[in-house]
Amino acid sequence: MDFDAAFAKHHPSVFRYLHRLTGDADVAADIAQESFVRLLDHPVPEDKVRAWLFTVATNLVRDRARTRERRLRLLKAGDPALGQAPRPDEELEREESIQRVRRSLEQLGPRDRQLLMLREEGFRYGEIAELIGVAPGSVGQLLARALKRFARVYNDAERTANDERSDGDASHR
Amino acid sequence: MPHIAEGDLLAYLDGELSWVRRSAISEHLDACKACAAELASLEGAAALLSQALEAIEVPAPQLDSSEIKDRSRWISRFAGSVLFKAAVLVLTLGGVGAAAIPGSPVRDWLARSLIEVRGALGLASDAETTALEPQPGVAATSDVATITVSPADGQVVVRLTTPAADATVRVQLVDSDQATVRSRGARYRTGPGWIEVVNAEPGALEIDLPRALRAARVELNGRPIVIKDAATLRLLTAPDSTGSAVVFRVSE
Repeated sequence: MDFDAAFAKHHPSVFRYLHRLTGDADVAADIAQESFVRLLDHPVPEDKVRAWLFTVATNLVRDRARTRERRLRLLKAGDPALGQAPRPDEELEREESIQRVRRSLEQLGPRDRQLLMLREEGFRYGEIAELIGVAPGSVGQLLARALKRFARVYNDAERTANDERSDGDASHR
Repeated sequence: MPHIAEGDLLAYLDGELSWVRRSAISEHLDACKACAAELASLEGAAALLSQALEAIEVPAPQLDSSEIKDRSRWISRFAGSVLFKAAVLVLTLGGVGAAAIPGSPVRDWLARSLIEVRGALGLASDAETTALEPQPGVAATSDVATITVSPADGQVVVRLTTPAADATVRVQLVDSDQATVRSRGARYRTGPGWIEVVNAEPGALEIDLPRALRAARVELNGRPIVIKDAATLRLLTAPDSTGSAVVFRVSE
């Protein structure tokens, strides 16, 4: 296995997958690096590298999530609006939109998120079944449900945000 | 006529079906408005997800495979130095800092590093979080932030990643049992026996290394630049520069 070529080829997609899964670029970068470090120690055949990397990366996310949940209380902060300088409306809207996407993804649950992200990365249903550990015949159904759930949650969140924006505009008139 | 299951409709959309099955579904869709509508709904949901993911995308860090190999070499040196050995991370903030501001990326970054390392070490304390609590009315400044770490197996590595070109780095041996880094505007990553300082701003960057360390080194963008040689420090770019303290400019 040519490690340098494997790294150049797969690092961007592994990072992208991890960032979408975790919503955290720093964690994604760290886990991506860790996945490749493990690949160095456990070379696999060229045609298995991609699936292997995504399997390791997914497992590392799961392990880290368990640790993070225990420590999450240490990240509790006060009112985020305190002390911040006002930002342009456009920037705020973009930030809200990003948060809406992240919150919608978080509401899916880890397995659904993994399923959808692997599909987005172009994995075939058979590969997804192996990576996630489900029966191949069930992948389509699981994906369809996860997709519809995401769309429902995201559209509800967007509707709420639009309603709040109109109420805000109305109260200023 | 029986409708097509949503899983099969998505598989049809994703090209996962055999030619025979695909043809059968195609024929059905021509005749069944409900299934055609369901397919359109799935297609819409898939497009919505793709667009949403594009909106939150960030570029992957520009890394060389050699950095992975360096990390692997260093990890294998520490093999056996289990995360749960006695290593204590203390995170302090010197004075007013951007990290004290709620929502500050520095604050979040430091908090995450703290949480991940302390989590990995099986440690938990609320004491270190008080420094991260919001300070109402405090103006944001790029002030000095300090981070300390205990050695792992008698060794410490400090990695400087893309510091400002006109930063001056002072490395000195101290009578302490912990390594300390003080810098302005940097982000930190830590692990057992190592600190990574990312994007330190111009100005002075100070590194204190315990005199009693068995081994220590400072790396600049992946390249060792200072090593502890017995009781002294050696600046590798200027072999005659040795002593209990060495100073170098990043641009040199």
